[in-house]
Amino acid sequence: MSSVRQRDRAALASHVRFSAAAAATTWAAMWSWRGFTTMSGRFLVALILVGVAVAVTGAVARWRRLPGVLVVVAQLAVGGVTTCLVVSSRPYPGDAFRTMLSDAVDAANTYASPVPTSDTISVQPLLVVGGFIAMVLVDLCAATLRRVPLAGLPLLTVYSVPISLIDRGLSWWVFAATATGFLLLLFLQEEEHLSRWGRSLDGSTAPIRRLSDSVRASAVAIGAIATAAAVLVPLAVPTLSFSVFDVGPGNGGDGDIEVTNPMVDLRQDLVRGDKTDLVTVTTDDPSPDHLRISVLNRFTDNEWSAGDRKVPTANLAQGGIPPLEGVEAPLVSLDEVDYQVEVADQFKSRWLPTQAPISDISADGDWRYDVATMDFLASDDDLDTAGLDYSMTAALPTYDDSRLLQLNATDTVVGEEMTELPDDLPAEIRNYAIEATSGATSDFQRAVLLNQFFRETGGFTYKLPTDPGGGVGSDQLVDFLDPDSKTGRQGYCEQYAAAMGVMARTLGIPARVAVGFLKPTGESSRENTYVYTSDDLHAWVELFFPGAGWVLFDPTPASRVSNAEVPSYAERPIDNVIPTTTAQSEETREPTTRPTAPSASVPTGRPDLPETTADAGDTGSSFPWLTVLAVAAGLLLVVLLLLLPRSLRRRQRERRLAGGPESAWAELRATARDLGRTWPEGRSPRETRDLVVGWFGHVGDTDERPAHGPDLAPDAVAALDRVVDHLERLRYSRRHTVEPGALRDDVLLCCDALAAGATPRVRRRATWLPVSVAQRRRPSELEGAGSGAGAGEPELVGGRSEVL
Amino acid sequence: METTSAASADLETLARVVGAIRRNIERVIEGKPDVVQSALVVLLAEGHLLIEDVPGVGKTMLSKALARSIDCSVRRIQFTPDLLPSDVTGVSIFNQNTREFEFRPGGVFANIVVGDEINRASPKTQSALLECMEERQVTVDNNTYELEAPFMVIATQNPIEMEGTYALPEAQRDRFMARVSIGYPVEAAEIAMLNSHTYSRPLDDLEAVTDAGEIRKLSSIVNQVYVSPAIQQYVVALTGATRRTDDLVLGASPRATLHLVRAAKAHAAIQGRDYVLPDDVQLLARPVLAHRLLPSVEAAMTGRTTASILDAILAGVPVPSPQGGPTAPPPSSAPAGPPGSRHRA
Repeated sequence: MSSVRQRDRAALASHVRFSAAAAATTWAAMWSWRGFTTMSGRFLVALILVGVAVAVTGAVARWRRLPGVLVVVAQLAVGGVTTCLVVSSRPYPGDAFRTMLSDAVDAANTYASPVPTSDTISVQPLLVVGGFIAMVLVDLCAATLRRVPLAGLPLLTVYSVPISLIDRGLSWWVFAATATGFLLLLFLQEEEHLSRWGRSLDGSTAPIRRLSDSVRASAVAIGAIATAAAVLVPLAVPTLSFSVFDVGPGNGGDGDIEVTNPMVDLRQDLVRGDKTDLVTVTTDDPSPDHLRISVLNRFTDNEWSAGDRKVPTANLAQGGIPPLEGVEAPLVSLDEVDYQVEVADQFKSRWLPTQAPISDISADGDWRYDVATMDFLASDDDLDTAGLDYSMTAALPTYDDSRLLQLNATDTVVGEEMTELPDDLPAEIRNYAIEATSGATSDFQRAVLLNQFFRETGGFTYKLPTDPGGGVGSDQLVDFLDPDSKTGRQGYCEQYAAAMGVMARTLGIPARVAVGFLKPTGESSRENTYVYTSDDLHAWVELFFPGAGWVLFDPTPASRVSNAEVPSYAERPIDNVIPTTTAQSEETREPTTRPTAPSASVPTGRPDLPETTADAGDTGSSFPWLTVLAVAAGLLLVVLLLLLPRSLRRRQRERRLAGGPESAWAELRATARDLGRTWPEGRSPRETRDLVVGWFGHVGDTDERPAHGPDLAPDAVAALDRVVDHLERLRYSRRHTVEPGALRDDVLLCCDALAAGATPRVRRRATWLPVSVAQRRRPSELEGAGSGAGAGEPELVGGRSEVL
Repeated sequence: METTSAASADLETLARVVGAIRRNIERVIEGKPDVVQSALVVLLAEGHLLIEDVPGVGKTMLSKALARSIDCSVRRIQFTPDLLPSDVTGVSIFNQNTREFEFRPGGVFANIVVGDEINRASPKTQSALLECMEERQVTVDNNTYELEAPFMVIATQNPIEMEGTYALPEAQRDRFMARVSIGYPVEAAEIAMLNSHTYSRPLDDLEAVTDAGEIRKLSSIVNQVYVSPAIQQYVVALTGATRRTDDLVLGASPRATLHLVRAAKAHAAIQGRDYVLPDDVQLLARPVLAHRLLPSVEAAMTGRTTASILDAILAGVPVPSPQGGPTAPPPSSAPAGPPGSRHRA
């Protein structure tokens, strides 16, 4: 009786072990979901409870030998109650639960990952429910059905969801932990199978034997090697940029502010609410503002985006920056001001915040700039701004306002893409633009009027978005500009900047949207030190005028960008057609223009940057010869490696065919082995022959499963008999003479017949991956081929040695 | 090249004669080519043959057919418990006329001696035959009489009847080159036998197709058959394995090794070869070795016969590479031990 109870206990322990391993593996895989939310700890802790509920229920139910369906039902019941409890504090899926779930679905649809967590916004319920389902599925496959390999499917699904939804890779250790758990499940299943051999007479299914330590050690070693290989091999593959794992800093979940897609991130950060110090600058500039992070120069139907960048290795953020294009000296003068920048640890950006324009910069890491946009991009995957210190020299422009006002726009310098718009852009946008700029005589005047339209005359009000998913596509812009629309003429910086950028382009003025910080509003105890906070994130517009370069306009209304705080000429009203910009000349600090080079307005290409362009071309922005060569060499190597076994085998065959009976015999043996036949070792030639003829197939048989037998190839059988006869005479008679190569045709006939008796797949493997190449040569062969006494000499044998 | 053509001419002669004898015998013994072959091999190898089988399958018929096919002296000795050694070897009788002892040769003085039911004779009589078989001479009253070549003893014995029989001791069994069992004929052969043996006596119709002199010549041809070192190594490895395996308490003797090689040579010659193949050795290992081996108690308890143990050894001992590669390891079924350690004292 006690032994039965002992077995019962052992069975329960086995079930518990299995269930716990399944739940733990799923939980480990759920770690990959932590990028979905900013508070990943919460749902992971909740899932521990759910996992325990599912595992314990499953283990007990299986121990009681309930049918599989009942096990799943019990798990769904108990796990579901636990899920409801941890989500809505009630043990049933009531209204609160449903509300929270639908809110979570809304939040997931609205926000990009990671979804911020607040009292009203949370995707946690969704993640917990998803985790619960995954746990039940994995437990069903692994423990209830005892089909651990099947459990890989739900695990893979869990793991691949974030890969498809979050751009950045996943941590390698999450993969390693999941893989380890999966292998552990496999091990447990196989261990159970093995230990059931010789079960006890009372019919108990509990294992009565444990695996030996050495078997366990082998299993652990194999599992560890497999996991390590799976983690390391993708990292080591050089030509593929695809990476499942991001070995760099983790993403999401800890409240950091990230800038990857500037516009999307800006939107999220604006609704974030809490104010965080992000960038601290120390400078002599009395009122630093407009610290630019990135430039968006491509407008599609849906959004402004960063577009393409050319960042050759020569464009490192170390030292001087080449002069800007399209800038004329008399029109613009530059004042150089030094900045010392410290970026907070929470601010992770792939773009480097700089003044625009700058003349000099020194930042650690592989930061590179694009000559056209003059923004700085991390070209190393692991590089971001968190905790970065760097210095730069800003070139603050001062414009000759009277001349500025007479400028007309052209896109010949900056390229047509700066005025590109979608073909199906609603005509209303252009109509609004024409209406707002009526009466202007130059493009610059139109730009100023357009700016005024947003800030003053258009009746726009500043309103922070409640819905961060809004976006600034064509349709939203029409809504935004329509005074009669429900949300018309109210918005925030992104919409203003986007709208003005698009409208300027409809007027033929090259335009782009800049994203960055508006004005340092953070507290700083030190003198000449200013702090940009998360509240200062902002977007504005840059318009290009030949001679003046890219001129900054900030169309956001005064309630956000107040006239007093930002003494920019953009905020000044321009009376009707004649703008009064003379008074603001000292304050107008328009980024993006730098005129040191004389030949500014030459319209073709980049006349002031000949050397830089040339350098850039040499170092990689043009055709990447080195890469192509490396790839070609790699491919060549792969091809050679693929061809190597085949050619080695061919040479081996030729050498053997030119030899005597022993060589011929060795060739037959090698061919048979290549075709997956087990060549009898230590048998006489005749015995071997009797076996080999059974492998012969009809030459020319293309059947998938060809027949084989001695009747199908009588010629080959006769040839084989000749070879065997010569071999026997060579080995066992007093004296035998064979001309080298005399058996060539016979051997080839036999080889063909052997190949004809194998399936096409085996034949292909024998051709491309002959196993006999890797096998040690027999002593008889070594002796035969090694002495190299010349192929012309016949084999003289007295049953003792074969002389070639 | 002359030697080669001379040798091949000899082999052709041999093949022709052997073929004639075989056809002759097969007129009487139907459907048993393997047994006939073994008998011929033993004849050419100058050995003695032990035919062991149940009564009535043609043991004596085979012996007689072989004997009659050769034009030579044939004697048949029916072994009974009261048979005396002198009946086998011969006896010296006092001649009243010459007042001298004169030797009356016994049954053994013939080219082919058929010993029927040899296990019925007393050990003393059996051992009288021993000397003749091995030494091919008879010593009576201090006089030694040579036996004429060819000399072949074909003994039959019945393994079923144990009462009143004296099983051949190991030493005596060892002197027989081969032991064959005829076995029951297959259905077709038995019907054919009914046809041929009901209406006539085929044995009486047999005529000699060769004579003793030719057989002597053929034996000398067999002696010229070449045994390569590889084959020698193989044979020694085989017999060595029988001595090492735990399944046998008595392995093959050196005489067995010798007999095996000689039989293999004869077989090779019959096949028209002047060199021995491993296959010759393998084919003859069972008839030549099996009757000399004694299975261990454990092997006997598990129902293994000497034949099956021998098959396992044959499968386990690799054919040596002709280049004198590493000596064949002992087969897995025959773990190494001190040679002969399991021999009976």
